[in-house]
Amino acid sequence: MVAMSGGVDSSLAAALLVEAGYRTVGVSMRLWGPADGSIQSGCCSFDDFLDARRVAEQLGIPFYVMDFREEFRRAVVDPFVAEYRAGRTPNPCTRCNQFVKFAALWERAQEIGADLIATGHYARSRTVGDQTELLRGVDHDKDQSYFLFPIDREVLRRTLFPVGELTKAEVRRGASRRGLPVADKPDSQEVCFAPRGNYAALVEAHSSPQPIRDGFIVDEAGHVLGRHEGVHRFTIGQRRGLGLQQGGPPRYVTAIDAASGTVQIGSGDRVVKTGLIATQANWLGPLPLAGTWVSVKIRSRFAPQPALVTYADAESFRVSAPAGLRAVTPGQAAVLYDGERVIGGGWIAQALSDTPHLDLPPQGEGESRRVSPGEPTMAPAWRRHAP
Amino acid sequence: MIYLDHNATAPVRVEVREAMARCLAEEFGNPSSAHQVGGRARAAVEAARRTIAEVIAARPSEVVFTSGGTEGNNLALFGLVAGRDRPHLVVSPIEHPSVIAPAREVERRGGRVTWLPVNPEGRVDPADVAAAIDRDTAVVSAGWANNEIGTVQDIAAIAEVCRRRGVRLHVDAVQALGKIPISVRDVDTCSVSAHKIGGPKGVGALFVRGGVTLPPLVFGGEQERGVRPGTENLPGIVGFAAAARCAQPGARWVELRERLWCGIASCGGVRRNSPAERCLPNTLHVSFAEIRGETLVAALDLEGVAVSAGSACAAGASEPSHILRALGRGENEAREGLRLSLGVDTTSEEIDEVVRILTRVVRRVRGVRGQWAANG
Repeated sequence: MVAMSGGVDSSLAAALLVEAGYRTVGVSMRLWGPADGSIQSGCCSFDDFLDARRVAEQLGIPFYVMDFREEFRRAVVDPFVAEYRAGRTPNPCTRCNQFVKFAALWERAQEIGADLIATGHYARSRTVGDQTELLRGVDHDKDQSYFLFPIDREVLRRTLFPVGELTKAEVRRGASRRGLPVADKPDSQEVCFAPRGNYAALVEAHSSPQPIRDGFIVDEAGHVLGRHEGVHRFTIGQRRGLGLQQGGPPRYVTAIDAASGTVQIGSGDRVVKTGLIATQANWLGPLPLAGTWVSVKIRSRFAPQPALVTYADAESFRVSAPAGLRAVTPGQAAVLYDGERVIGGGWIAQALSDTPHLDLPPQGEGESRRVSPGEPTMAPAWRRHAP
Repeated sequence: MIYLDHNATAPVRVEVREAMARCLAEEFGNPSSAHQVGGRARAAVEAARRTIAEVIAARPSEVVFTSGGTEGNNLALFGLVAGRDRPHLVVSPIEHPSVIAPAREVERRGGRVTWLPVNPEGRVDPADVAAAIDRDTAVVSAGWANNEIGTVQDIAAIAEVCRRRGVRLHVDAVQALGKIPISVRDVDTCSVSAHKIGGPKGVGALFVRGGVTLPPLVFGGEQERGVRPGTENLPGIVGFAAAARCAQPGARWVELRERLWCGIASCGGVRRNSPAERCLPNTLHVSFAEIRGETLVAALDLEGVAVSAGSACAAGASEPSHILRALGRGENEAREGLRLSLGVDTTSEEIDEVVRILTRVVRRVRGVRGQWAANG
């Protein structure tokens, strides 16, 4: 079963699976929109469903729209609102992967008799022995492995990422060459349930019965600099939209305290932290030992930084990044990489700024366990399952 | 492929295809034209009108051709409240959207709607109709037979209440036509549709009792007595009449349906939502505990069996059934409905095959659940 959003990535993914000989079923997930049983309710993105259906028809595969609104609201939208209100910055796409795509959808896939699921994510999976590894997408600009860290290992073994081997440009060319009607469709950039990226409006609309409280913007000494209309309008490292007078050096959000409604701002260097603690960890391979150098990514658009694992158990970990991590944001995911491979990840609970100074890893050590170009190449997992 | 979704639409009958092909090939005239070409077209429309009238026990002059059930329901409901300041409607809550949405629209424009209670089988009690009627009541609207669970209403008794109280009664008979005998003698307006009985899509009829005047919804010429202007859908109307001539309502289905139910019941954990009595003979609506109807529809479709989960949005995603909700079921239960509706060509071999496939699918779905429960 391939999840088809009506976009170019999942459309080409479906086409590649069909060409590889899989018996393929396309499914669009209805994620958002009224679910109150009223008979007059629109679809979350009717035109996208139509696009997906057109592609499925062209590929000659069965296609269904399935309803996941309840799961999505419970696992993604409600926590999204709650996180913002708690002064954190949620990561809805990762939660959607964790609880909806690679849980509820996988269950539905098995129920209709599918053995594997596929998505249009830019990520790769590779089975080595009895371990399935999650790797970054070949196109590092589009790589979505960050959003996939919580995937269950058993489910990962049953998951195919057909476009993870391709760059975005190759995907568009591939779709165009096959005459898929969505080849030139623009990429979706926003959180799918927040129209025009207006998160604040969404949080406010879903905040009854506890109304949003306003509060103060303070500097690091606690001096009040202004007022704000709710902590949900801020994220760590934010510079714009603070509603303060212009002039002076740029100031950034450095801390958010939802309990008191206080947003603290400070200079740029105060946003840089040297470590973090993450909880609700998920490991996609052996637990990293304390003292292991890894790369860490702390949000989706973030170049991986070297970091030292200082503690790790099944549920949580702590890393130190001597070069500093800009805007460590509670609520976002911290994902650890060994080169291309996702070791695991967790949800950022706390930023650390007082870690003792550490030396950078010796040159080359961070590279040692990476997949080297000379390694014997294996067919990607999604192709190897083909009959 | 085994098709058990005849309440959604029925395959077009051979007789219909032939009649329509002949009409398209030979009768291109405009029924309003004065010449002989137009005259032949007029004759074809009027012959079709007589056929439809006969099937529903109406006079030909009481039959208005429409584009289908939705238009008929809109035409009747908006027409019967026209000219009233603050009209009151009494409506069954398990109606098709094409009744519920016009009622809501009347409400939005300043009218009032009383939604009738229904019992757990979806039955409207005529005493509740009597209790709901007040001096502003313009129309009572009830479906002859429910599209999802198949419950047949006691239209004669409801009509008696309406007649006594001097209130108009509109009946949506789209699902009843061709499955049970219907006579419109007791009602004021009644909508039917061609495609549910093996006719073409896009054509239907509204019975409008002589003496009842309905203003048009669209304005134009004098066709259909000015109630429904626009050049007649000649091939559609001819096809509708051909389908109506073939319709044989009766109990032929009951045996097959009960055979289907016995097979399904042996899966266990399944509830029959269709009433055992006074139900459309071709309709069986069931719920498998904690299995979404939507999942079964996809799984069965992949095995070559076409059924329905009840309501769906335009994109094809299922909605929680407002009908099951009205019967007092919870939100989750309202997603568990599965409707199997038989057609005139359904065979006992097909029924047995569906039971085999459904049993296998349900076992698989329960296995998936068991595995996840075991894994925590």
